[in-house]
Amino acid sequence: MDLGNEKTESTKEEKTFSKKFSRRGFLKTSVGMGVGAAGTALFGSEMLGSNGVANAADIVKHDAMPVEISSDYKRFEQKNAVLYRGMAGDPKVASYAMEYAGKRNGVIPQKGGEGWGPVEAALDRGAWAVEDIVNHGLASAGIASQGLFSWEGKVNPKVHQFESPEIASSTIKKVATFYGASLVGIAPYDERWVYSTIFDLATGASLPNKLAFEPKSVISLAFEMDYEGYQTAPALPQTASSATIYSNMGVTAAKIATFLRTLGYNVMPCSNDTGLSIPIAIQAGLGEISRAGIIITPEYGPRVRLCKIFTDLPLAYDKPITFGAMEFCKTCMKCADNCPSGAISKDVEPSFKVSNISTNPGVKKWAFDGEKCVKQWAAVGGDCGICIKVCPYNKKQEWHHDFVKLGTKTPARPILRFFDDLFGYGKISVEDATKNFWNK
Amino acid sequence: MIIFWLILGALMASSIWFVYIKFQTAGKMSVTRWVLTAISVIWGAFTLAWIIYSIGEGEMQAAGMGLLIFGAILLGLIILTVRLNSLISSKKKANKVEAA
Repeated sequence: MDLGNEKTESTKEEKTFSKKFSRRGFLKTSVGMGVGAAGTALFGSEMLGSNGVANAADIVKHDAMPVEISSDYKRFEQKNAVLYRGMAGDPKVASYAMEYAGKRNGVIPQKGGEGWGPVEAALDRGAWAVEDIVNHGLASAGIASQGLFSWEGKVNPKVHQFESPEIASSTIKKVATFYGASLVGIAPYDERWVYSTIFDLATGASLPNKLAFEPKSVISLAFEMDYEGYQTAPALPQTASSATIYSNMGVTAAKIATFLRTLGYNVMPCSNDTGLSIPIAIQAGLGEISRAGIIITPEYGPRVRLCKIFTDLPLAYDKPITFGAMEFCKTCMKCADNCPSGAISKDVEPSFKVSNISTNPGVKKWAFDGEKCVKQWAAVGGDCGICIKVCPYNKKQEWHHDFVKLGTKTPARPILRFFDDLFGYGKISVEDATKNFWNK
Repeated sequence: MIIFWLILGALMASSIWFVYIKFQTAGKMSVTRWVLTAISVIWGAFTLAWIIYSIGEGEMQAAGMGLLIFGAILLGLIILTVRLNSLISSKKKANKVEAA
């Protein structure tokens, strides 16, 4: 009897249900709600994208450099950078620098199995083509005014006056991204980041660093390097990824230089020469210094190459930023753990310590050991790039990575490295990454 | 990827609608259950989106771990939502019996 009653009640309920929810009503309401929710989802996807809330909410602007600079800071001498020490015959690094240069120029055959084959070697050589043919390979080597980075050019005597420095800055940023830069920041000219002396390639001597004019501003440019290429680190598609940027940045810098000269302003486009690109980029608000000594940008993490353009055009300046990267570096140490040569410091806190004369002293950061790094460059025949590959900030620009980036500013920071490992980021083998590189 | 977000939005709406016609009409939905349902649906959408985007990036381990970790949390949320209802129902029934 009970069962019978239940059945009757159930049938009644079903009937009421059918009356309330006809098929047409169900469809209409579902479509309405679906469209609403899809709209919300679309809105959400836009909000969390590369320029979305997760990035924007995260960034703090500062009036001064967010890194402590010693009051007795002295400008860096170019000859102390590890590659110039190698070129000058410093016994600690000369053999490694020569081996790296030999492999880089095809004099010494590349070895290392998959990722170092003849096709990858050709890819690397091709990537350097513009830098090698037009700039004679010297701009990336830190020699000023080479090829596309020439400081000589016809400057229009009729100077165009921008309505304001703000308008001039926004114009420059538009022009730079239009010509191929991924990120643009503008800083006031700060002599601290300009080499006190430059390395003379012919004699190995140090010469005074004479600029062509007195600059007012520095335009710092960052170029995103290929994600798939960097996944193959330390194999040759990784090196080709940075090489192709060295070639492309010359093209972009030359275009910007011509644009500014046409408007009547003096310009000094620079690759790795004249001054230190990283502090300039930090001052221009492009990112934060990392444990590995390179910049971490909010957009591409450490997967960028930098160049800069000095000009006498007065511009509105960007402020240095922090977004939790340096704080995250204190607990992460993934780059230090994965660096094959042990070049990256494992100290928890940044300090004024130096590893050797190649460390720029007077800046509170983690001391990077360039001597060990160049040894690794020689071994792999390229610029390694493992520290960039494994960095948790090295992700594609997608909304779900933005969520995790937000986590770097919370007390959950120390466990994020664990989850980054657990989720397999930066762990792909060279063989698999090379296959992916060619197949994607 | 816009199509994916559209499908996800439709899926979320359908899930809410399914819960509404299945339980609300039967008078089984409390405010707490609605809140839990909303969290479950949003979490489910997040899990699905994480997996799809990770596969799209070629990060298969991230997709797998996403399925495992976020999926486990989703399962917990669903169980909590469903059991909460049964608990409330049985509690109500018990109260009714006591009152009678």
